Amino acid sequence: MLELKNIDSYYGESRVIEDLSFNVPKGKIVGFIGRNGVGKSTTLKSIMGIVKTPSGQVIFNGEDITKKPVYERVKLGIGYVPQGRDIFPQMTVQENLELGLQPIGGKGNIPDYLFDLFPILPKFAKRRGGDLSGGQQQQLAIARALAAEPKILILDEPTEGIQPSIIRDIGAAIKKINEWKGITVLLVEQYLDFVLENTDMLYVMEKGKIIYQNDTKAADGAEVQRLMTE
Amino acid sequence: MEQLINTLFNGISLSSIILLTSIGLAITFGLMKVINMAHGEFLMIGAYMTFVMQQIFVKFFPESVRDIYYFAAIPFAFLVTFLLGSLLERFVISRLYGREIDSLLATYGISLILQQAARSIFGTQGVNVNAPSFLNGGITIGGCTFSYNRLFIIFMVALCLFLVWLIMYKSNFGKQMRAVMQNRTMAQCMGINSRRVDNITFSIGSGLAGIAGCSVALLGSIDSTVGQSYIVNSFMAVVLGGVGKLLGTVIGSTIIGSASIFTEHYTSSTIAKAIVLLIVIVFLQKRPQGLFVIKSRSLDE
Repeated sequence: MLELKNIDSYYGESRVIEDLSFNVPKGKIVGFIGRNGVGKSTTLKSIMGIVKTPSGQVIFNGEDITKKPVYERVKLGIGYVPQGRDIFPQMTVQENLELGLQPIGGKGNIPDYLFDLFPILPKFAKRRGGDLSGGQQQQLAIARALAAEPKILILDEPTEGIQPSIIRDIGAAIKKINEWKGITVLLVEQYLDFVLENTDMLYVMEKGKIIYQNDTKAADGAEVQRLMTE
Repeated sequence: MEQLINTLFNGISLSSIILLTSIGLAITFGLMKVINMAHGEFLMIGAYMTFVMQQIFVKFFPESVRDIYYFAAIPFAFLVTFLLGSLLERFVISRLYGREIDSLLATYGISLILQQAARSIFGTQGVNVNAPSFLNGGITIGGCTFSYNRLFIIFMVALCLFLVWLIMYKSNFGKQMRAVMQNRTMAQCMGINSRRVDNITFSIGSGLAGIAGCSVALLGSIDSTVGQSYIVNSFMAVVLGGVGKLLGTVIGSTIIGSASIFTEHYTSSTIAKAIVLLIVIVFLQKRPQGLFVIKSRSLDE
């Protein structure tokens, strides 16, 4: 479904990603794990087109999207939840959700199942996004990215700074949308247990390269942990 | 007392013109962080377009319908300045995003070019627009006279403000615009073409300045520098009101407009300018972000 071929990416002047290639198969939940600063977020930003990729290709659904601007990539069916959520702080929860409909022209309704997944949202519909807690913002950000029913959902550290009970809810929600709607998921994490519990497949990243990949079921948690801390 | 009410009335009508030019500036600055020094020239162009429309009516239409030229002039001025704004954004401003000083210089240059163009086309002498006959005179209540043309300007600005509010808060485009203002990258990640939003927003702002030009045309003679006399006040109104909130711009403009007229009434116009500037400077010492500060959890973190 999503394939990166020999991607180079820069953060300012320094090269963060070097010759990176990997594949996200359709219908799977794929975890991308590694320490701080190894290029995980930059990888996701390269997929979105937020950072430039001077060489290599990003292929989505068989189409080369490397040269497309961010908004066109989103319209092809890529939903993105950035690190830190990036809720529109002065807009209400309802308006934030409605912005999620922009990829399909701002028309239509927010799918009802999103309110079943995140019951907190209809309750806070009139509140400003900026007034929600971190966990609530995360749920809103995920729902917003799902409003237009993308083909793939990309999440950047969905558990960062969030209390354990909500982390469980988020994990469950990710699995449900994958099961119910067949939406492919690519998530970046530092929190290994979350990846082991919720993904089908995992990659370990180190210094802009993939150093390990396996089906999550077959992966040895201790070994992955060792790779991450080495 | 009557004098006070009259001064207040004049203050409000000046405020409303400042408001129309400020909205464009505030949105442009809030959205694109570009200080558009040529904004005043859109007001000047709008005023000249009113003159042009009047000439067209004088030439081609019978005298009985000449008065309605003004109603044709408003959309005409809007359209011309909207299109010019769109071109300016597309070919100059959009290439200077994130380079405040460069954009300041470039737009200042454009402002000079437009002024010279106006002098070349319309001459160095000011031209006059005859207000439609139904705007002559005024209502007298007690000892106070409220002239029709100033009342009309206030009404027109209120209508424009209402339309801007509708666009910003009730339309899908407005939602896109506010999203881009608050977080450009994330707005793009929502599938919004932020370049298109920038262009249309800039054009609307320019168009509003054009309409402000129509109202200025009712009040006095039009020359190539007419924009300059309003733009300084508009900049101050934007700074005072804070960026990104329509209400801030409304209140900022009201304060600047009224303060100008009041101080002018009791002193002279030069002293009045200095006093208003002083008020703004003192105010900004206390509240550098202006009257309305955007505050939220995610921005605090």
